[in-house]
Amino acid sequence: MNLRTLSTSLLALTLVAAPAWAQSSDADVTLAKAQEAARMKVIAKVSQAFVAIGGGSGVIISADGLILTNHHVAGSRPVGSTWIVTRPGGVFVRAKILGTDPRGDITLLKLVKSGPYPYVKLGDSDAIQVGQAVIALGNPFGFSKDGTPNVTVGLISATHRYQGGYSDAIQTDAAINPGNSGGPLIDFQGRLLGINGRIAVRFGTRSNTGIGYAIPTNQIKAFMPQLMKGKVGHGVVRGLSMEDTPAGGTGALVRRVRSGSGAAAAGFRNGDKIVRAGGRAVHNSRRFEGIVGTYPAGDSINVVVKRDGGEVALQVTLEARDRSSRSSAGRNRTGGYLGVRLSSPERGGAEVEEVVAGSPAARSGLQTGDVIRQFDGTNVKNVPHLIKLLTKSKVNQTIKLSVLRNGTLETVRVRLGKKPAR
Amino acid sequence: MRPLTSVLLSLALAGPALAGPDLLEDTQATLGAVDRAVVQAASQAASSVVSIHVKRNNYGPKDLSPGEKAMRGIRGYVPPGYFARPDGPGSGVVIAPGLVATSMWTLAGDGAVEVSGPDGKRYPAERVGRHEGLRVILLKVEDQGALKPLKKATSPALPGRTLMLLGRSEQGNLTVTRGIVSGLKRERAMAFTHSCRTSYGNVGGALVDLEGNLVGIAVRHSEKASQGQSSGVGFGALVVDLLPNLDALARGKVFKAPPRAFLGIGLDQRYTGDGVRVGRIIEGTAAAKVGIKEGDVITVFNSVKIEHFAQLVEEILKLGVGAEIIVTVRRDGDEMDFTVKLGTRPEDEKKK
Repeated sequence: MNLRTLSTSLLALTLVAAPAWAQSSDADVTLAKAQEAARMKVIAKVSQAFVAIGGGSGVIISADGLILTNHHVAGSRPVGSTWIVTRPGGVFVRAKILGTDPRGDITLLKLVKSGPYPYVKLGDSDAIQVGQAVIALGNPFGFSKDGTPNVTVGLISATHRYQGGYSDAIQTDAAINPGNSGGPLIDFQGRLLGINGRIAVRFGTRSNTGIGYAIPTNQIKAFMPQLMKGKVGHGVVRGLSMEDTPAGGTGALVRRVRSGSGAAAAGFRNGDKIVRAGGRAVHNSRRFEGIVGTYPAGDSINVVVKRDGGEVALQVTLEARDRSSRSSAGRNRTGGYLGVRLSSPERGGAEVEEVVAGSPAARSGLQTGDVIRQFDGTNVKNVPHLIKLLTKSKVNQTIKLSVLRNGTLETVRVRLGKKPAR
Repeated sequence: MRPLTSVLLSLALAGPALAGPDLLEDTQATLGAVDRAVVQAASQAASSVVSIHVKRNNYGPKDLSPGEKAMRGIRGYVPPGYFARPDGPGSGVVIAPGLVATSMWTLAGDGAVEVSGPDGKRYPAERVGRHEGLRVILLKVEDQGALKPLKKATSPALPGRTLMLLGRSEQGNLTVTRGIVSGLKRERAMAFTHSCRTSYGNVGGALVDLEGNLVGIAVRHSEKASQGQSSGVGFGALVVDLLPNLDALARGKVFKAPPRAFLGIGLDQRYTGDGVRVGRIIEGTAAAKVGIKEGDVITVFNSVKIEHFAQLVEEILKLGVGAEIIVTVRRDGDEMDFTVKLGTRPEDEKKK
């Protein structure tokens, strides 16, 4: 439980009665002010490494001017082209795109003019703890007019959240809003923990609800060599069918290994229970997919499975993920508009990678990570099949989707809309 | 809990001089101390925070008008009733004897106003001066000295400074939300941003520091901001910007907002995609000078992704004349950046 928030909300009740515990001493105020001074000092320092870019935010991560931001902020331009970014004080500088990762939602740029620049050091995102205080820098709603960031503070609310392409996301309650995208999530030692990129919103109201997601620094580090060279490819284990179980399990149970597949070559067998991958604990199939998602194709990771009462270590070389899933938000030329980006999971159906804000899908409560299993009673085979079903649907038609969410089947009703023109 | 508790305790004994960036939030030592300090600061300031009851005469927009909807397009969707305003009171702060400051937004409309303090007793109040840049309005209250003014903060409001937003609820209870100073020189340098959660009820209330001293007044700068009520990004008017003008405001003076900037483009209404397609360029304006052309699609304006015309207008109006910003346009499939120095509206020029 978040003690600080709880105590703040209690204030309104307790002030009237002023109980004994509320009596503060000079030492309390001194300590509170020392903490405030330390916070202001860190903020003043890290704010120098902030940049505003392309409708969002970014952060300088090296003295020679490497910048991280989101792909959805800066990746619309080809690698090698430039953006003008705004540094604190309203200084415009040119930055060149070195590489971009559409699925991981990261773009790497480099300031054209040589440094040295103030920068934020990369931290270890696997060492963070739930409840730890964090700082978010960004340009929410575009209120920053001079390149100085808007600063919010909060806590790490959860770690290792699976959110489609954000497969190992850090969750924070530091206020993150549209415009914060690409901005840094920083600890109180001034180290980068992640790049903020998504928020959970409902019913098209695009502002913070207390849930923001960041791409962890350790994932970015794994992709850095590819980002430096241009485009990246995400890794995947092919031919592995696992059981869907809710969170909190003790491993991911392998139901079937397709013969001749990458999974078979790596040594997976039917009935294996995956308990560790890349040095991290695996509690269900989602978490396994989440961990794999933090590595590029071609990387080799260590996977530990339970088999016949013992543990077996497998070395698994990741294959390249299809790029077919990239934009299905409005791919059906006729019929109703849903407003999601999809990918085809190994076990069939269509997985929601992203929900377009304000779309019928967003209004219906459809979430990233949902696997659409049925469309108005018809079993959905894969993404092309779902697109075909949507093509036959009508604008304003209400359809019933059966979705797999956290291991359980749920029904979502969506009133399809009119496809927005592009 | 994090293992830094012992370090913190020794720091506390050694005094704040040693406190470096290693002093983390939310260890056991700071949690208790900071919360007690916050409670104390809030209690000290509480008696100067008032409820403001306004006869609203059904004031206020509930939804976007058809014209506004058309300007926003499908991407600018807001749910029905999103801007509906409850009838309940707003908040204010006693800034000088017999004078209450609040957000202009809280007093929107022209109905009668009453002010009540911690004891719930209501005093009639009268609108006097207002500062349209800071978005603060002053009320003269016939309280016969019952309401005590709040002490003003002396240390600068730099990003990271602890703030509490104090408001007063319908029942007369104090409400507290906590945050920090988030950014300075916002809204043509008339506002700062803070992260205290805001609502209809606490806007107009006092933003106080760890010692319970007044740093600013919580205000709103837009009636129909799509960010809604409690995004964690709220505006404040700095009390140091208000104080030099306090006497004049008490006498009823109205300070106008600084002039707004002008880009110089007209909307192509036939276009329904992302961004704003330029329908025409007004001669002699900022857009014409840098070579933005008819048919260009504005996708990013000053690091804000533009989805519809209303949003572009909103962004331009936030800026002052002479502001230098970057406009990104899509032309023939390519994206281009223009560095634009915003000018004045041609008709404003003629008035001079």
